[in-house]
Amino acid sequence: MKKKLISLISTVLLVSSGFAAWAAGTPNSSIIHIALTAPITGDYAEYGNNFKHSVEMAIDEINANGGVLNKKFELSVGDSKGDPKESAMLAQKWTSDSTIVAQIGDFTSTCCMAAQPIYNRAGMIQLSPTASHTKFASGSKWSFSVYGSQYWEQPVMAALAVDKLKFKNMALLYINNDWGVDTQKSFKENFEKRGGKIVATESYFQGETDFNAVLTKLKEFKPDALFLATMYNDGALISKQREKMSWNLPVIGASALYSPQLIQLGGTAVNGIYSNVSFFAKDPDPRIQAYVSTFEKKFGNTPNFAAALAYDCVYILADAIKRAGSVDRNAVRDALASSKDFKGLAGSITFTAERNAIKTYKPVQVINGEFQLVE
Amino acid sequence: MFLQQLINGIAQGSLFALIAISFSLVWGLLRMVNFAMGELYMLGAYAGWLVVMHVTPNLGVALFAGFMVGWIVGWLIEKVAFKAMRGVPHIASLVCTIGFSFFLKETASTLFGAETKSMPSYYSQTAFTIAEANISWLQVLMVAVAIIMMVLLQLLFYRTKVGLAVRAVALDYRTASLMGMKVDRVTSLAFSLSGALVGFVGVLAAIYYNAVNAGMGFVPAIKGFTAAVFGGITSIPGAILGGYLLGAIENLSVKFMSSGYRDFVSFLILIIFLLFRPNGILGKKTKL
Amino acid sequence: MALLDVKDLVVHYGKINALKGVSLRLEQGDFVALIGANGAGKTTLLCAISGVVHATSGTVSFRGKSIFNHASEAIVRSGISHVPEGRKIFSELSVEENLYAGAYIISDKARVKDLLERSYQLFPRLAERRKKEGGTLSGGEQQMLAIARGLMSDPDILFLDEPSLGIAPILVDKIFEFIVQINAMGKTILMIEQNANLALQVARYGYVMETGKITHEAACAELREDDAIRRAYLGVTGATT
Repeated sequence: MKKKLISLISTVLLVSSGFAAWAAGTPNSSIIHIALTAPITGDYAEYGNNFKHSVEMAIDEINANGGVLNKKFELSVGDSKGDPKESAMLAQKWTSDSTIVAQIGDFTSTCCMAAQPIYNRAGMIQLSPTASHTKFASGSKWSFSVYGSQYWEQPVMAALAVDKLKFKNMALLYINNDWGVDTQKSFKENFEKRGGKIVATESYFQGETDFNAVLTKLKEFKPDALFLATMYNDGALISKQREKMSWNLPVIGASALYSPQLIQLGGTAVNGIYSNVSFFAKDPDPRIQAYVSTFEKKFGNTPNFAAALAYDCVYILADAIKRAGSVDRNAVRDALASSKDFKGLAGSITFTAERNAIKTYKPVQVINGEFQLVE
Repeated sequence: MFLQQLINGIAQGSLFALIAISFSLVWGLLRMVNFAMGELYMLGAYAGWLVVMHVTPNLGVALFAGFMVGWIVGWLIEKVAFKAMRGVPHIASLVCTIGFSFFLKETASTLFGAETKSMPSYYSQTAFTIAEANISWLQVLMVAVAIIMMVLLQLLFYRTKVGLAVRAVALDYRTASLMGMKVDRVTSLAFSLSGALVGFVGVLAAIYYNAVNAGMGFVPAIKGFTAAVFGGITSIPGAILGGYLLGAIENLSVKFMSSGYRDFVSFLILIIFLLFRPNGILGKKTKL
Repeated sequence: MALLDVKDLVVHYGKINALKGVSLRLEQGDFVALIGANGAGKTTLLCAISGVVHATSGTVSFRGKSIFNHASEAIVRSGISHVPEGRKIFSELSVEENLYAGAYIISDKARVKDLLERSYQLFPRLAERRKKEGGTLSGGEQQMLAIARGLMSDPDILFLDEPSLGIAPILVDKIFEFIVQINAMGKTILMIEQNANLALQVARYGYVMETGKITHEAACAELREDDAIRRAYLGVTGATT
């Protein structure tokens, strides 16, 4: 039985590597093949689908306008399910295909960092729209974060908390993964630098639904406000359970809370929550409005920040290829690294030496069931 | 706040206890674990959500819908994973329920979308306040419903002929068949009932946490299983005790330790009991 | 027409031929003993008739209707109750629950009550212990319970498999008195018994089995006088005791 299994697996591996070699042997000079890794299913599927729709939309637009260097973009999509193992497996798949010029993705920092060594070894661009862990982009010369990092985002939130909202004692609640740990740490540093005090810190693991115990504990410390380093779905659940406990206090959180889903799920419980954005769907900028209305028409929902960032990824990659004048992986990487003041939907993009985009973030607040910019 | 955590623990423990009973039922009859329990819970929650959003806001109807969906899918799992695989080594049935677990999860995620759905709040007003601890009507209702469910089950098992048959078949199915009991039918019935029970719990949980998604069943199922092992998987009172104890311990552990250790505590209990007292607190010795 | 008519019954366990064509008849009110060495196929024969074991070929008819290879839960419904070897009490059910389990096929509650009363009259000991868990009873009490449970379906035929096995010697006589009494109530009995001496004294007709076949059959009185049987099964070398 075991022997049979082994021989079956080796046959499959042989055949598939044969295919890969065959595919690699026939590069098509009229296309630019890129890969997208995204959580199409699973807990982060909303973000994954926003990625996919936006990337497809951008590619269609570029191809309709004649492509880049007279070549058309072609896209392969892989579903990482938000699972680091899957993300790493997809990295193996993409890097073993020599026709692929660059990879866009993944969504979470954890997934990106799991796949990072593979892209680094193979020498393939790993351009993540959303990974914001401070150690992600700096970890490999092939990794880029268009989102920027918590390093840029949390000072904005800390300033809001201390200067505008006058919070002194805050409690932190974060999801226990790479991103959550980094986000809360970054906020804590900035908040304390400005003279605030963190009175309690609690965490939970992905998949938790019962926050009653954690909230009860945090409540004991009587903080002025609560900081959430969580995704929108957990943020909504936490808010609802907090409302039920009749614990009323101001809540601020990371940009991951910024999603129409937060309001759909959280209802009145999320009213008053502060977050921040680099992309705001109601921004009057005509370019943004054109993008939002096309996206809404095509896919039936309002694009979130992840969608806009993924869209920017395709365009900045196209720009780099144009400037490199070839699809050589090294040339494109160098061109991408030297991107300067690229005008994206989610703000302009200039990469630091550690390949993090420097971004500006605008605070937003949920008021009467809608996100509004905080003046 | 000790009291508040205890109250939270009891409310959550009600959910664990009902799931644990379901594991005990299946274990008692088949000496088998149904790994798709979490997905039955999830499907129940979706059924409740669909009713509330599209049919009627009546909570009773939603709970009934969860019960029925759990019943039907539980019945189906028994037919495929257990009845059709009788005589095949046990492991085949186990693997088959794992298959069901993935299949049901992916089906729900495809059918309803992968994003979390919001469930409206019910009875979220505070019922009592004791020493700064708030007890909501929903928590009262949950504990009450769980207790009613347990009493009904107890009546079913100890006061009806069907219940007698379930217990007899669980103890010795060969002899039970000599008494004229239809072993297949009794097994199928109890299996469906266990599915219905977790489907019902799924609706309760959806209301309590205001959320429904395809992956929601995984953690509660493992906690329910832990509770069953903790209390003694061969014994229904043991499962109930295990559920409430686990709920209380988990919530109180948050008070004394970082909440990151919460699951750690549960699984530590599971491992300790599996190693040193596999029959749990109230369970009887069984030959495996 | 015989009440139970078994002809040429053959059973295989995998490649082992456990019954090699056994025929047996029971008339209404009979008390028949089945004796033979361990492994002769006595239990297999009862099990094949009561549907616990699947038979390869042969015929089994009860009141003229075939019940060959019917499910055991159907056979008890037709009127044959099998009290299995080793008593097989539901250890975690109370004495009374065990009895109710025996009456599972009867839906008329009043009748179940009557049958329960009858059991308690027959075995007053069980009435005293009605709330006790079956597993806590002594061997003798468990045997009484097993027999009483077998009677709760109000069968025409009662199969008894080794009723004296593992029971204190003083209780064995008592158990056999009960069995004789049950036969006197009109129940037909087919009994396997290792204690051949005793079996051939209480029963009226006997079958002797050896390696899957019936080797002798006759009235018990006659079997008791048969030298070969005396030597082989009654542990007697010389004169009768």
